[in-house]
Amino acid sequence: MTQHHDPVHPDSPHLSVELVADLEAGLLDDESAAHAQHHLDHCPPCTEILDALEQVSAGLAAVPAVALPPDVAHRLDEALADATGPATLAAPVSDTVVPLDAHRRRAGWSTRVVTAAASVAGILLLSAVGISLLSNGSGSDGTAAGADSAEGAGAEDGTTTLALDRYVTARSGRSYDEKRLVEQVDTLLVSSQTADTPSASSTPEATSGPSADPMVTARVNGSPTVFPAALVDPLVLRACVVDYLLRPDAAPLAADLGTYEGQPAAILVMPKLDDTDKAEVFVVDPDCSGPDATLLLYLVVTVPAELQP
Amino acid sequence: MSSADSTSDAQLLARHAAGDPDAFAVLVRRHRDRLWAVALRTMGDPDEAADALQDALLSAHRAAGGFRGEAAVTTWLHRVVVNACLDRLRRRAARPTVPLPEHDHAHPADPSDPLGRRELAMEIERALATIPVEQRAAIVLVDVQGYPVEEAAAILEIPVGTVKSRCARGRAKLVPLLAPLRNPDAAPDVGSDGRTAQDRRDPTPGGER
Repeated sequence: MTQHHDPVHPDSPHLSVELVADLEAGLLDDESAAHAQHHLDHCPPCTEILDALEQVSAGLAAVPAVALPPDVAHRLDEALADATGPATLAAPVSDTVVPLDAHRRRAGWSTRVVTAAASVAGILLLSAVGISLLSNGSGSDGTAAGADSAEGAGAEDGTTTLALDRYVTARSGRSYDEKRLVEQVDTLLVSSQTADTPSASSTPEATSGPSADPMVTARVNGSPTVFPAALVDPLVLRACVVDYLLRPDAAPLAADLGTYEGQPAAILVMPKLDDTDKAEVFVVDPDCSGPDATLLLYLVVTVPAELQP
Repeated sequence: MSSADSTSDAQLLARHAAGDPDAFAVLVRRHRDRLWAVALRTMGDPDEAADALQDALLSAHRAAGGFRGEAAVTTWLHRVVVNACLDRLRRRAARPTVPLPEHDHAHPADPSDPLGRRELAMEIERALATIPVEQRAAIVLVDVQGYPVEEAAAILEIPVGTVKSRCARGRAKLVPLLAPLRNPDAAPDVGSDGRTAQDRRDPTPGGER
């Protein structure tokens, strides 16, 4: 079949290794593939190329598995133990904000239980003040955006808290899911930020406080379900933000109760410490019950342009 | 972290981003053998692979807050490791190539290996080191580690067709380097350039670069 010269190598009567490899990988168009296959069927030297390619593939596949050598494993463990935490938490926006990650890393996760107990006590002391603030309606600041850190400055022990009226939980009962989460969070942010007052129609019960009926209606696994959600209580939301998210410096840009992938969940959107154009989204237990609350998802989103400071 | 085994990768990463000091280590321990294999085969040198893997994991540790959940956590971890390897290889490519030393460390002797797979693995490592790094990375993921082409495409952030093409071109480059070593009598009579054996008397791998 030497009359069928490989167009890539017109001087050669044979197919190039590249062409055979492309044929084998299914990369040739129908006409070229048919031409090459026809040549292969009638040209023993080119069939050897195909055999050699198959040998190469078999050899690559036969490379034995390797496990991480113990010395390298040890070295990695040490390097990671010495590393500072993720940039989102390790980069305080001012010197007065406690570098949470540093002391947490040394002390370990369990100390968060102690911290939580201490700051919950602090919050309870403040609760009367908080409730009286609530009765006055929302604060004048309708844009609880990224400038919160200044107010949180001095949070040496996590008990410094922003006013309770900054901790507003909507209860849309919306069905959040991973595929649409970014746009759903955009919608939530826009509706939260444009709801200037807590009596805005989109979240009529949002700041009703601890005395309100702490129930949320949502479709759980397709069925209308009413589930209790402590996070409706601003005290609980604030405790969650301070003790679970470890963010005494800022109130949520938005918080909502609904479902995530069919399960009751809270969606908490926090300003990102080191980037005011971004927000961190935490999908957690609807009750955010302490340091062991389950974090279902974390991601960083870009705040819609119209809401950026 | 007592429930770590039942915690998903995404949950571990989220816990890490939220400040859990142990979560990232648990995540790494889950996947480090596979990540090591990719780094070792891509770098072809255990010391360089260890450096690249450490750089990559430290970078992932810092950057976890930027993980958006668009890909699986394992895909993202592989991407960080492969990129660290490619960066090192590209920097190294600016320097003259030196022959790779023997690495018994990476290939422990295996008396139950009468077919010489250990030697084959070493020859493949040597041969892989001579092909372009982008082709090498695709071949390591698809042909050596056995990841689906779609997964490799996600790791490398290139289209599936580009992965296939890089693998095909890389395999083609390996033919004259590898096939004669395995079975000298059956070596194809045609080189990668389509010329006959008489036209390419110098079979040294370095001469093919």
